[in-house]
Amino acid sequence: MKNLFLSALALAVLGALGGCASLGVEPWQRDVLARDEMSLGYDPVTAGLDDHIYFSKEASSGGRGFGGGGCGCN
Amino acid sequence: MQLKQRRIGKRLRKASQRLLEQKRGPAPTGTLAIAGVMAAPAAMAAAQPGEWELNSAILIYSETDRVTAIEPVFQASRYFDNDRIFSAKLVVDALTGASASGAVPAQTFQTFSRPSGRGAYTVGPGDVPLDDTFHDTRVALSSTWSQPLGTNLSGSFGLNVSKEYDYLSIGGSSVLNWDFNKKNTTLTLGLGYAQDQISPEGDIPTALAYQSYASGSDAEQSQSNYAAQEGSDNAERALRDGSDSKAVADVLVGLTQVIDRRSLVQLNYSLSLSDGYLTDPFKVVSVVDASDGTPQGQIYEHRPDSRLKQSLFVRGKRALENDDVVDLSYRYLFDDWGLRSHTVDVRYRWGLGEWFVQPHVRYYQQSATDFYQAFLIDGQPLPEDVSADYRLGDMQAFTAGVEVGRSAGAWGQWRVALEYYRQTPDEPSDKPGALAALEVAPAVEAVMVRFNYDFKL
Repeated sequence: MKNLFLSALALAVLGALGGCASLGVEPWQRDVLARDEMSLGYDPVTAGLDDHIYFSKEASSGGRGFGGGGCGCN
Repeated sequence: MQLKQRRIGKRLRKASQRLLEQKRGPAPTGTLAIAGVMAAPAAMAAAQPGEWELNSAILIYSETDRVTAIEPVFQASRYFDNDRIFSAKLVVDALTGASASGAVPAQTFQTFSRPSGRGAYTVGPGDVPLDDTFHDTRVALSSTWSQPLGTNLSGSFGLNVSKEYDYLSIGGSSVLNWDFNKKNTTLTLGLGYAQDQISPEGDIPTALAYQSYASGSDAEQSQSNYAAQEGSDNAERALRDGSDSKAVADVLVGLTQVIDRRSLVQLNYSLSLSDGYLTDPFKVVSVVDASDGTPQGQIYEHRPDSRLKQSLFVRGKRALENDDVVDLSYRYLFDDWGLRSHTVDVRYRWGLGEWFVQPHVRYYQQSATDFYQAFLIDGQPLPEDVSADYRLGDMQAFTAGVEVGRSAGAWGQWRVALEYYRQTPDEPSDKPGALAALEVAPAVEAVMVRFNYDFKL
């Protein structure tokens, strides 16, 4: 079951990469994407605080990226 | 050359902030990476070599009748030539208040031993037992070094230490980002490892052992009954170990793709393996009478000693024609404890010149782990693993909030957010006798206020 899931994921990623070649912008078209608020890593301090709250109050955590620091609030 | 491009890019961004509604000409050959997918400082491209960027925040989190937390954060990032960045972050987390012990309410007064075995507390009829000695201060320090490792490859390497009175966590992580397809596609590989040690006050309780307990028709009677019972768990306490540990290994594989001039999409697969002591030493499970539902006592919980979590996370960001930004994400998480969860998060950043308003909604739903039981029935054999911690049960949670801020100004940027969070655990369906009339898993409500201030030196 797990192998099947991983294979499907690998296929999805490869498929996405194949399709990626036709997506995207030229380097001089990055004016909007270059704005702070369009960055996926925008405001890591707030993201860290949010992750910490939900990690402490719910049984799920992670997924968005790597946070720093462990916590004894399991 | 790179420096020159960065300066041009910075001037252009400043111009766009001033003249949000005015159309801009094409930027020069910008070499801005899509984003630090993880652990990357904010606004990476906006600071110049030799500059410090400082990000600070304070969060106040307050639950009705339960936990209150005050959490200041301070992060400093130093920018060097050739896109190299050093970043250090300090988080302090001061907790006070009461937290649910896992025991069920009763029609009588109940007196419980504290987890440390030192002292006791009494709760009234119908009240969910809350241990009111919950207070701790956590100090976490982390640092990250980021640099290019080749034309299209960059890496960041981090160390973190987190210390509480009874807890120590030391960890490291590394993240590699590989850009290709004119930097429209980024593949990310993240690896993390942490080693945690817990040394609770009163040592590690024996799993499934009974705690001292008594009940009574009034508080005084309950306490005097308890005094007669006190020390019934002395033999167990003498056998306790002083500390225990766990190791956590994390792997993340991510793909970020620019769709067009205004949108990008991210897809992450994460795997997290925890191994060691995963039990909460402060939580108990009530053992109730099969027919009348009266608690007979309570035992310390026990969780499996390993957990494998996997998640799929997809996120999209799009700048609309009026430059408002929509940020949507969804996470599906599953583990070998039988838990499944769905999380949807939506933010809409409404630009108002130099100001912005950002409403935020989040919905979370989880199914219970296999070993979650709100209570056990007296006389039945004890399971190997059991926890009555509502955070491992069926639950929904909802967050709604709004953030307001000023994204320009000579004195830095600030923003303030107000959020409301409500958890609604499912009530167990098979409550026997008198327990049927009592609420075992009430909703938990919290209000959060956060203030952020960012500036450069």
